[in-house]
Amino acid sequence: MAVKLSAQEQAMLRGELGPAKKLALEKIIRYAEILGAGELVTITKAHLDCGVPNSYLGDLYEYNEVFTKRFLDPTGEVKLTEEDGFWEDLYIQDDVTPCDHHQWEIVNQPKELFDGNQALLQQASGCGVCLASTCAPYLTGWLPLRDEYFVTVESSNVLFCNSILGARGNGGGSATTFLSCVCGRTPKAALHLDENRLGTHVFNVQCKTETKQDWDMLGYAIGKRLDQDAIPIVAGDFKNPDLTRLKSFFTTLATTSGVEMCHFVGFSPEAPTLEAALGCKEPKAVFDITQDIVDGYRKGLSHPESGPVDLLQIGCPHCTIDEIRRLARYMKGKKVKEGVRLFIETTYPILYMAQTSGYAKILEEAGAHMMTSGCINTIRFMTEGVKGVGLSAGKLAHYQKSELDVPVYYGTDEEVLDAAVAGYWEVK
Amino acid sequence: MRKNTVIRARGAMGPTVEGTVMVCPNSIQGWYGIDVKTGVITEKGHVHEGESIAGKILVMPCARGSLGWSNYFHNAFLNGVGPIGYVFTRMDSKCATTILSTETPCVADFDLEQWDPCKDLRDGDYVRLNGDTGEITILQPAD
Repeated sequence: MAVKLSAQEQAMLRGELGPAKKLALEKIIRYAEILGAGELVTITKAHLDCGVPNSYLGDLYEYNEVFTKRFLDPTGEVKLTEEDGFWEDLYIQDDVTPCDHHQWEIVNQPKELFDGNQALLQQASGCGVCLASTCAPYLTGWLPLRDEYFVTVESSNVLFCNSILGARGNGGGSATTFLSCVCGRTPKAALHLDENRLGTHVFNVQCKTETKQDWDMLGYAIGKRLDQDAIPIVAGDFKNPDLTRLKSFFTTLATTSGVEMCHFVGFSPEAPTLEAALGCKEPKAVFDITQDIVDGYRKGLSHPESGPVDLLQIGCPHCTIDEIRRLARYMKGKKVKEGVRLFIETTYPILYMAQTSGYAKILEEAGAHMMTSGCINTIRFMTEGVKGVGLSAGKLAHYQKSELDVPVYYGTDEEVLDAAVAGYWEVK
Repeated sequence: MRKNTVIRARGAMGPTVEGTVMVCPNSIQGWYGIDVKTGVITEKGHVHEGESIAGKILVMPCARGSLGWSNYFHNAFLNGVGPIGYVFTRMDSKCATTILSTETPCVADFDLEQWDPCKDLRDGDYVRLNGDTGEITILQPAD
């Protein structure tokens, strides 16, 4: 199938907008053909990974060497420059990186890696990327609104923007997101189209939906029951979530499934009623999510026997200022056990707020490390030599159980903080 | 019985390749799912945990989990331990990014009323995958 192109796209393809855009568009057209898409759309928001890639083993921290060569031109001839960089009208913000923004020793990293990461970020900024280094770019003003087309490399973010904001985007991955950032286009496919945004699977919520952890485990349970191409509908007896609960819900839903959109009856914009969410069609399947089901997953994610922990992390996705306020209130006057590292992960605009508000000082006096730009999944070398890990995000616990051979515990933020003070995770 | 059986869908990337099938009915998780240096599946509890995807024709319903999914297959490809062909029941943007990055032959988007590649193809089948026409021929069944 031939891909239909606008006048501007045809000019770009002739090379009139520069060699980088020409090559990127050629590849995006190839991407459209692989997807079976007939035309392209212009994107207005993009969320791109710009730090040292997890797999990168080289020692040359030059943006074109690391990214442009990998995704655009393997010969290294075509390069992005400040003049011919990313698409000008596009608001691009960066995703998490493998390094913290300020610290390297506390996470066992060589200074060279930290410096290399900083160099890559500065070069990305020069090409048009706004730096925030967060998995939750909506916390810092990157918000595609209704019917805006966006691309992102973060699976929980694609869910948030499609489901809650009513924006339109597909995940893809690093390569195609990079190419879209150069030519400002992505194939019109999947969730860009009305008919593909209808709910398919109904989940009657019968479990508790009060706390952040309730929503964390609800997302995990729903994802476990989904087929390919599914769009879940959260229905039944649930309490409307807030942003903190939603961001946890979307991370676990995107861990156990590949879905990129989810409706909440009576709450999210494209689901005023169950019938509207389904487009008056029959659901492919209906499930009840009971308290027993979510309790089973919660237990399954956590190591069954009590034991020592020396690495704990809160902030997946990155903490809001309100979460940090609550952590500070809980930790005031307490002390993290010696030899234990407690990391609170957020993004640096929010860290600045936490410093201004005094929360960071309270947490640091308690022995916590205020961190930005990554998490235990992305910060390289963070887990080297650990004896036991405690986490309050189902996503992190799920992946770290795959990655580590030491006990991984999962609990609430408060349980993580208690374990940091005790240096020990008590299984109740 | 299954020898020379042909199943068809959309040819997403050519050309033709022959190889041994590995079926992953629940896909492979998108983060820490495979060791990109060896191609070995590291996802705990995976039906093929400990086996390598290198040189195989991978059959999966679609992608699963993190948007880092394509990076793992791209890196395995760059390290020379990627699959030589892909079959996806349903193409999605993560799968398409993988195919674009690795330029590996691929057939996708099956009409499930006719064929389900995760059931009609079995581990160990030796097949010819034509990524231009969308035909997959079982040359030597595993059983």
